[in-house]
Amino acid sequence: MSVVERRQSLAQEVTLLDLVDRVLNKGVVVTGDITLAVADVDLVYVGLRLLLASAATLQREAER
Amino acid sequence: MIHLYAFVSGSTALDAGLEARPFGSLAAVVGQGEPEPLEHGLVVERLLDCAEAVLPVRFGARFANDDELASAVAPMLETLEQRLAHVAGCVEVGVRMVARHEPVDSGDGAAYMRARLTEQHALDDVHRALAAEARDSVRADGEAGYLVSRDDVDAFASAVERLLESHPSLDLLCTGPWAPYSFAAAA
Repeated sequence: MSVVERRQSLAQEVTLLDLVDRVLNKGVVVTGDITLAVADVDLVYVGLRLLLASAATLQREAER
Repeated sequence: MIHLYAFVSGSTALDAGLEARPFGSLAAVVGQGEPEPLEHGLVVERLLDCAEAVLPVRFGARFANDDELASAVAPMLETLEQRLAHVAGCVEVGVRMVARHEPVDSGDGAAYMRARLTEQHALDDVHRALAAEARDSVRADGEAGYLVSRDDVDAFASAVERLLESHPSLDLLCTGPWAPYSFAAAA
């Protein structure tokens, strides 16, 4: 069974948010030309949006 | 611009548009241009299917040329090799843990605090049980990451299922398997 198949069977609710959250917040930090904007939106702002979305998602789960 | 996606070890068949730049026993997977964060994430996830060990790089590492890449990577080489060995053969399984708040008499502060404490102990129990099944673990607020051997992912998911049944006050949600993002930075 490939990792892809496992991923499909294991992940019940993998959101795009999880992936983008990981990409932006985790991983090896290598100092290069740090990108300050994504599609003309500051990463700081994107980070804030992600935080708000994550908190809202948790809240929904808590209220379920 | 050279965009750095991940470090890998072992032979890797790369998608078109990606190149491997060897550094000692490992290789940096790079591509030209400036991908969006989502593209970066999808490339890293695909690497997980073909490389023995993958160390994802946080989005945003871009270099003007190979020399700049080399001078950024050289001082980290030893750490990178150690982290790659640590995650070799493993994937990261994410588990979101949320306690379902049982209604408590709103006038009874002590009962409220006891209920919160019970929830906290249940969450600690679950984390301890899952950490025992994993090679490594990290935990932050309502989310934990577990470094699990590729072969043990199904068993790990079953362990989460069992904990879900034995802890009816908790919601547990498995995500992944991911590339080991949470275990990429030096401990």
